[in-house]
Amino acid sequence: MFRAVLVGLILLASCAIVPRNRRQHLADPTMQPDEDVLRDRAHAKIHTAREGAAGGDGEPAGGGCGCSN
Amino acid sequence: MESRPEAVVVVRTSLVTLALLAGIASGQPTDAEIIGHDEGWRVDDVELRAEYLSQRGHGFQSQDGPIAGPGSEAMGVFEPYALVTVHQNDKITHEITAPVDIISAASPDAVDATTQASRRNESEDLEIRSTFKLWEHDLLTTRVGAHHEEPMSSGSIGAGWRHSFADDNATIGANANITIDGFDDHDHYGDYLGKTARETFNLNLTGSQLLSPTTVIDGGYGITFQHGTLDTGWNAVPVAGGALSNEILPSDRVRHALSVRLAQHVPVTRSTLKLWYRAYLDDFGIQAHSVEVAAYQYVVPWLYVRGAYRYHHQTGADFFTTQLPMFYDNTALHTADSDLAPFSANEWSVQVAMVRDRTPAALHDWSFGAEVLRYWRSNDLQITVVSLTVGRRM
Repeated sequence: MFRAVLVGLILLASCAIVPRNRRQHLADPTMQPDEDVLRDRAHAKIHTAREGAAGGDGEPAGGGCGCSN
Repeated sequence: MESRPEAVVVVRTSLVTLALLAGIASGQPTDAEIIGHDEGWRVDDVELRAEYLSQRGHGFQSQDGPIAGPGSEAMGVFEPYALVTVHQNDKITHEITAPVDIISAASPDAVDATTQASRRNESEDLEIRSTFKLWEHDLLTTRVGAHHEEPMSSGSIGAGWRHSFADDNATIGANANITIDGFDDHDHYGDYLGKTARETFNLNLTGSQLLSPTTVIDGGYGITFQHGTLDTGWNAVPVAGGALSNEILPSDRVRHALSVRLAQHVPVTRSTLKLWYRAYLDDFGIQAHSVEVAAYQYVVPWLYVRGAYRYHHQTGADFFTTQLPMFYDNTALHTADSDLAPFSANEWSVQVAMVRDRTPAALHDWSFGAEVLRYWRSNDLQITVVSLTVGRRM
């Protein structure tokens, strides 16, 4: 998995540069990774409380370990 | 003797020279001199979300039913959230999140012998995420959190760093988190066994890259190590012949998660599409794949509709069972927790949301939103969530 991440980063580093004056669409609120923080946290809580495979990436551990809820 | 016009020129030149010297002497202009004085601490934004979750279903770990199971997992949760964004200065901001859960009729009956946790329970969280802009291309983030519910209290701290490069076309980052849970240990009869704890250490690597003027990709890898009492004390495991056993989980768990997300804006239709994938595996023997597609469509420049569908599939833990044999080894690992079972889950949601910065003047910086979500698992669990949000830019 680590090698896959490394290869991915190397491939991405070769991508074309987007100049600042062509980023107006990238600045659209719907394009932001955290455009709705409370919704994302509420959804994450639904999954971490019910899926043993949730967590492991900075969120509370997944269901089945009694963590948080 | 100089003529009068020459004297004026000399005086003016001298004044200009003095002014230049004074400017040099005072050094470079500060940020405050260029963009104005920073007023310091202020509340930038407040957002409230009220959510009601209704759950129906059954799981073999629940004792709310026949001894051979499965028991009910029905419950209702009212959950208000608050998110307050605080500006400290031009380099430091804080996000304060405070969800409160009010849970009714959850979990098995057994635990009610010693606690109220399954009849009605309130849990409170407080989390403060702070962002420090160290230099032009570097951000430092910190995270402090606390959680409390009747049989458990926990605290967490974390720190992260993010660096942008290639004229902000790409970012890389890393963050680490530590969580410690302290809670009452119970057996599956509800008997109190004393205090116990577990610790969680988590490390994440993240990255993002602009691919075109309308496309961005981001992703990350996380590894988590847990140690301590990982089982839920009051979870039961049915035994052939009509008995119940307790759940026995390992005391260590290592988890890996890899995720990637692609976001594409379509200017012609004022739409955005996002595709997300996540792979997961751990040493319980669980492997999982999750995929989500979300579509955003602007109705007017300040209002959009978001529709999303998520599919999740996981294998079960190696030691998952719905029934132990009559003569079982009570030192061997076993669980009947439906969260650790093999299952598939589907989820769809529809949301209407306002863009805070674009709301019409008539709304005076207020914004509103609503969402409906439906989640169902192949092993008998269904959830419906309805939420309303209101926010105000201060």
